[in-house]
Amino acid sequence: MRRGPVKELGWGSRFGLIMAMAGNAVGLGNFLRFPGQAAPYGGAFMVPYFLALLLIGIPLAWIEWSIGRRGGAYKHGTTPGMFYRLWKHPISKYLGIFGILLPAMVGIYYIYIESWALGYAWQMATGMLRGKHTYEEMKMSFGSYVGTTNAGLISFSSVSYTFFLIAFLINIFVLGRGIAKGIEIVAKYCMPVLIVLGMILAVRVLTLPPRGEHQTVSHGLAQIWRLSPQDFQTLMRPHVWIAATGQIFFTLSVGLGMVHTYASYLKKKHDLTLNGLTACVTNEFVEVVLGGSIVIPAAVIFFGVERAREIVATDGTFAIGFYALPLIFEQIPYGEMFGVMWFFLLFLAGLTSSMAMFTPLLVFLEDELQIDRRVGVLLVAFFAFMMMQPVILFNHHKVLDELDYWMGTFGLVLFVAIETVVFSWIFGIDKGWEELHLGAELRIPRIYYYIMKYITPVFAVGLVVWFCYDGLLEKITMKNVPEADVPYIWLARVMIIMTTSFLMWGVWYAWQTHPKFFEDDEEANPQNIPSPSKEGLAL
Amino acid sequence: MMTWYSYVYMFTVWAVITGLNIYCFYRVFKSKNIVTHEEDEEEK
Repeated sequence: MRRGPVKELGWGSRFGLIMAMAGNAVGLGNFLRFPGQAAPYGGAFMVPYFLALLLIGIPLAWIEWSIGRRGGAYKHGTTPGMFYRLWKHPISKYLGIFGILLPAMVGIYYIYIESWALGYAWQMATGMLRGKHTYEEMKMSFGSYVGTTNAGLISFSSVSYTFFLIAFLINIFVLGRGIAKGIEIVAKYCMPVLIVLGMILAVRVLTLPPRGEHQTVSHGLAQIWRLSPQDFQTLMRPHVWIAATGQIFFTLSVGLGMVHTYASYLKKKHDLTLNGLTACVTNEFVEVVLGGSIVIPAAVIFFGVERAREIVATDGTFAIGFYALPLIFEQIPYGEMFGVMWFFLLFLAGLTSSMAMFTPLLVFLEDELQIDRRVGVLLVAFFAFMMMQPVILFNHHKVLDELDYWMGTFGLVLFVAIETVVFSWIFGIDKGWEELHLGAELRIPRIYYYIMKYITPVFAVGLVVWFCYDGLLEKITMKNVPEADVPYIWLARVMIIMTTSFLMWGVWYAWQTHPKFFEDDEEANPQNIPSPSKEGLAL
Repeated sequence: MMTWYSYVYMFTVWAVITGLNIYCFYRVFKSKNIVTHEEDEEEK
């Protein structure tokens, strides 16, 4: 297969690899989604959360690292080729399409959301949010910023569009620089900065003085850490388990195909187990220790428990992040500085994830369709830019929400089920276990052999069944969708179908034009095939 | 409001996560197994 002549492809350092993998996992959800998921259940949420982490999340991460490195040994940087190497069946390569489709489609709205954080950092820095004294005013201000307030045919705001363009160009620039010179450098510097910013903000929030009898740090932390019998009774309900497992999927960025591509630049002698675990626990530190100490405690201190719960229930924790926190920062000393830090933190969290999202598509174009990398970057940029326009301009008609459900929620769960079944049952856990331990610096306890063989795939398949049972039909038939939104929902679906069709054609074309590349088996094609990291991919 | 056992619960979770981070990064930095293309040049 053709790859660029430059040797600077692959990871420049082990720390860079771990930071990039952790950065891929750390995203907006660590600070905005996790607290909202945990708060309704209190400390009880942490029980299924950590069980899901141990039984599903970490094993899945190891599975994805293994699939990726094994695929990389055959010079496949994306899941169609990787799956085919695990399962020589005509359908396997088409199932692998999810690993390119999902991150690309999530990326087209994720970068837009990430740009809001950048725009708000700017607004905080320049004092543009001053003079708004109520939650409702701040909410209106956000609507004006994204153009949904008084939107006509389109929702457009020149300010938010400008910041979207900046965020988009940053992402494309990083993507174009390649792994070592782009993604790794950004992750190596941004992740430590993000963690320091998170720690400063957490300390600031946890040292805020009480504003009333029930508006204290203690009351704020209690929303996530309280231990009440009523909360533990909720563990009998499946919803809390689904919520916790879903959060683990989202937070570790498993089931999206990005981990596979990053891991494809590793060699057989490179460790997977310790690196994978390190990336996971770094993400957990950011999510549980930092993410759980900012949004909810701050909201409780300033609004009180009842009002904070009401906001979470009606608008979600996203609202606290974008509507409530700016308001709070306006009222504390040096608040604007903390406000800038908060939104810049969100932007960095978003950037370290989004820069990975178009990597599988780019690598697919280059590896399997033999498109020159420079051309590939331009094609990906063109595709992403065009696809982002409906998301931005028809935001008030729920295009973003529709994409998020099919690609970022249901698609993710489905892909997780597919990859665990392919790896653990079809490829076989015995070979998988051996693959995982090649070059391993951390011996995984034997119990994980059985967890990865039985629990992870059964749970993943069970989750798909649950999603099918819990509202999938209503979603397909657009039940409760306002009449005005129906054409735009269809537009989102057409975008998904078109991208899927292109990828299916791409896979078919790749296998038609150079079948030998895909058919060489391990014996005929020894594992010392030059890996992608040796042959160069950067511009 | 947080009770004393809620604080114990929270700090235990924080300690486990932080401890795991320290352990993993200690192992990573102590290791001689690096992940660079330069190592291939060195091997040659």
